[in-house]
Amino acid sequence: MKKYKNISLFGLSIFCFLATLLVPIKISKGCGPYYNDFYGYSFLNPNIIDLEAPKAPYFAGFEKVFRQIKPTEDIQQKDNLTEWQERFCDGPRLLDLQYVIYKSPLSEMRRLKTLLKQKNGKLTGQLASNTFARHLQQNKCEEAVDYLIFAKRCEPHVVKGSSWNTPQRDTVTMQFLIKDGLKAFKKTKSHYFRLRYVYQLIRLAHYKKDYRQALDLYDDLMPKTDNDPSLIEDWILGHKAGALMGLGRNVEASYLYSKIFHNTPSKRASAYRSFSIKTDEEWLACLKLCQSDTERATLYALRANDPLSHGVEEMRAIYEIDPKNEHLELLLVREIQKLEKDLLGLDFNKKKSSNRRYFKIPRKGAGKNLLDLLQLVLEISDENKAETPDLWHIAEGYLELLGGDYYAAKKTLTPLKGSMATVVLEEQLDALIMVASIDGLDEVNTEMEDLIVDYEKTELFTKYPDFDKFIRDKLTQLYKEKEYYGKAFLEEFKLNQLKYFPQLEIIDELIAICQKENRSKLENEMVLKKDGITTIESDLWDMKGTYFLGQMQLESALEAFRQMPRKDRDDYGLFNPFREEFIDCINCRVIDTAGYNKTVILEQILELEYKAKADMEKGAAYYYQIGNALYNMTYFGYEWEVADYFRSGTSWGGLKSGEAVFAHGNAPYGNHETVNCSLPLYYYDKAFRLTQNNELGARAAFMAAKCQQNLYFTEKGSNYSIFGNDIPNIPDEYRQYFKILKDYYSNTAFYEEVVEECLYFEKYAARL
Amino acid sequence: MILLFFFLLSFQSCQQAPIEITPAFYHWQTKFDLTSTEKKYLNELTVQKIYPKFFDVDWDFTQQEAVSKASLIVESVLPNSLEIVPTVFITNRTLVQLSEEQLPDLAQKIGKKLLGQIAAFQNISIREIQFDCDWSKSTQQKYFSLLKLLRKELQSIDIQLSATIRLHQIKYVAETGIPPVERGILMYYNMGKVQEKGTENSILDNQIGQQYLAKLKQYPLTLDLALPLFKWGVLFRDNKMIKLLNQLEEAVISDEKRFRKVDENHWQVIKSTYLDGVYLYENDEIRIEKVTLNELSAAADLLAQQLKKEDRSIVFYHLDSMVLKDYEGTALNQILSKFGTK
Repeated sequence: MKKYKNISLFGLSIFCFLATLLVPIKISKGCGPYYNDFYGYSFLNPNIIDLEAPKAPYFAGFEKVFRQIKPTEDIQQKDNLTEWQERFCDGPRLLDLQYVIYKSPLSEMRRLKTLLKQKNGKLTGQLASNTFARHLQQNKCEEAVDYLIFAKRCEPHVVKGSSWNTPQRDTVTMQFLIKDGLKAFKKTKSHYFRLRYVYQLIRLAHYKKDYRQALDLYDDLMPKTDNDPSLIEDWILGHKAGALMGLGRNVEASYLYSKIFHNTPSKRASAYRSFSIKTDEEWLACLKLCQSDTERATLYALRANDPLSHGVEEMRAIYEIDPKNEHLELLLVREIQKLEKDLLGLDFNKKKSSNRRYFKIPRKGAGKNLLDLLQLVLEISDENKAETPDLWHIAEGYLELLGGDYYAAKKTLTPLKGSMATVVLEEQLDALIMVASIDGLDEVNTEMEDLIVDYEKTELFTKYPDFDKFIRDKLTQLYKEKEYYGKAFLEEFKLNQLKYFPQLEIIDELIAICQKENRSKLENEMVLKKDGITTIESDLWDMKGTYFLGQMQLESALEAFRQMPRKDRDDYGLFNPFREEFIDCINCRVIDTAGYNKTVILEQILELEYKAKADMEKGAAYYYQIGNALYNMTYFGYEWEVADYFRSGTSWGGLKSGEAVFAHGNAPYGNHETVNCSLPLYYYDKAFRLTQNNELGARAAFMAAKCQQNLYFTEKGSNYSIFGNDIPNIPDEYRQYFKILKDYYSNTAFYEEVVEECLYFEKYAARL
Repeated sequence: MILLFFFLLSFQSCQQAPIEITPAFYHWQTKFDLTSTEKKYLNELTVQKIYPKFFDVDWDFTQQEAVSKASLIVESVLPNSLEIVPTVFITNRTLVQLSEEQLPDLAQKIGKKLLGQIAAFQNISIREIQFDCDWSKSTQQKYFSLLKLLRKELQSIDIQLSATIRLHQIKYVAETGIPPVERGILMYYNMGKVQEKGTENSILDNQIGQQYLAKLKQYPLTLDLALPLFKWGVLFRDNKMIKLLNQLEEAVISDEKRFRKVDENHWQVIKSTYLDGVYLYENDEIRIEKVTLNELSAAADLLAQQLKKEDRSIVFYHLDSMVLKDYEGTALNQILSKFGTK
């Protein structure tokens, strides 16, 4: 007798599907609909257990698996064809079998039947080159052809239809077919075909909703078949179960579905869905129907398969019945995966609030679930009766780790090294020891940082992609705890993200690391550029200087920029903010030959101030130039990039909040804008007061007026709105310089020009 | 005397015509086979209309297509004095998944199935077909297009289309739009957050309901009204709502070996057990939510004030003897009388 192959093509499909998950061995990256935005870590490698088809759903859930591998009818067809092929000694090709069994019309089969009776009959049409048809003809396989003809007569009556169109059954013809089939069954000698007749007959009775007849046919005919094991037996069982369900005998039906679930991969999903137990009494009755421990264990496994089940209860039941049951270890892995989501890295998971809010994770009872599972694992681990004792030992350590006891976890896991039964388990053990080590870190020192870099270079780090975020999140939290804010920042963000609003504490810490003689390996990773030699120190000085410029602290900015080697200073941009611009235009930057780096710009400003103080006659012009340089470097000027790295147009909307820092998705500390025009106003005012030249006085007064207007725009409670084209209604105290311009300089050429060009001023002038 | 006559005549002419209401029931079971209790309620409330759910339309993620589910099987003959309003429930996720191009095909399928099922109600008046869908801003366009296509599919029969309108669709009418149908039916239930542990009663909470009614009179469609008559158990596991246990009776969970009553509405499972096909684990929690006559009466008072003064159907959800046993016919008649005369 041929042994019925449980590992079918379906199994292979599932295996291939899982293989796609595992090669190139990405261990986590989530699965199932809820993983889309859930943020957590997973270090369980599904390969630690035997990945045969029956077990696949435990990892992804049935819906997921069967969504990926569809349609199941194709799989059933393939299973069936394989069985036919085996039955015919692997002679016919699968495609030829498929044509004859599933595609060939009834008339063609009838012609074939006629040919079998002729001596020199010739196969024609599609059958001419069909290896299966030839085999049937050469070997005069009359019973096979008769069966195929009968099956094709039945086929139109057992069409499932779609949800939109329930087919009308011709029950009279179906009953005739049952009679014909019964006659054929009695005539047929081959038990292989007798079994298939039974299938056709019971299916007909089931589809015409004569459930009683379906059961009678089963009871009558099945004892009269003595076939080799065949997948058809489970197909028959499926129809028997359906008939029982139709008669309201759901306990017996559920028992049969559990058998199908266990035996037939291609029917597993539908059997799981059809399994229906309503009460405790029904459950006990169903258990009583089971004839072996494996069957009883399967019932528990079916119940545990609900993604929302508490598997420990069922695991315990399965273990008590059948400690080596294949479902037990699958459920163990699934339960650990749930707890991983709940508890692993909970202290430092940066999205724990959104996990809690959107996914209700960690579950409220996760702690108790962990203890329940750990208790069971300890018992099984001690008793050593499970199929893979090593797995239970590893589970014990990992659960201790998930419970937050890193030391117990390491103590449990480390002695196991080198003793695992398989390479995969050994690797899993190593990964978990590494997880425990990282999770247990509580000191910041060179040794720890060197260790982290060593970890990052291991093969495990690549194989388990969650190590990267696990390490980063852990270190971020640890560095923050120990007040290493610079390192914490670089673990969590990219250096460029600091540019939105540079933070002195972070910059100074990182500069100090750059200047250290003996940096740890991790510090080197943090501060060295791609060439492996240059550090980010100049970038940091530029950031520091730019920060001070943004605050209009010119001396401090210059001091920072001067710390940068001269050779690097031009790398951070060349600008010319000294141009006179009366209309704000942030995109009107002109790159001309007279571009200066930030250090030079500041040196020139300070020199202008020195000259202004020394030369009373030209002082006003110098102050005016300083005012221009500073104004042009603000948020409103064309050279804003001198004092800022990122300017957002949307910040306009928030100016009247009185703040200079605005929320931005990519900016951990917000986005700082150089909006304060007080310092340029100070210099314009000095210029205006000092000058004897009416034209210069008019210009300085006009620019001072602009500064004052911007001060109003950025004052808390300002009624200025960026929406609409209305002229802002600026309070009198912010219009002093406009008034001066009108009162004292209305006879200047500049005044004529500005009234023409500046709509706002024209309106104000009219009102004043 | 003549003066008095004219005075009375003029007084009468100033009065509004009384609002005429049509008592009705939703029928949400898959088998249409009315029990004697259900028939008794139909008589007692002089029900003239039934809204049977003909089928659901849902998205099948395995087949990646819209499918019909839970088709109605008709096993009871209705008196031809009754009017029926075939109702189709369309899940919003179907619309989320469907592309615009797939809409005509779905409309054709729904139309064909509806017409096929209508044939089972011979000699019964059918003047309206209702579509029930909790559409959102993102699915509004697809849903409204589908309704327009359905109108074409159903043009062979002289029929009005109606659509269910949820409270948020009244309050946020500018965002969710007005469906292209002749009538709407305001569903005055399922207004709370059922998935939240802290919710007391998600089915009917007049305090919440009231917050949505300010713009009710401005709603441009003529509105019928649906009122709840049901209860359920909300099952929580690990602090997460996982299932609704329809029409869960307190008596079913009164077994103290398996359940512990925590307070008026809350129970805890103390021993794992099956409950109507659902396996409950120790420590699961159940919140029972039901609609009391007092709450229903308060809802009627509130709605009678807020709704436009026009004739309408008052539809109870739903016709099921298990549901109805908690509500006396006379009490329901009193509720109906708050809206007008039959």
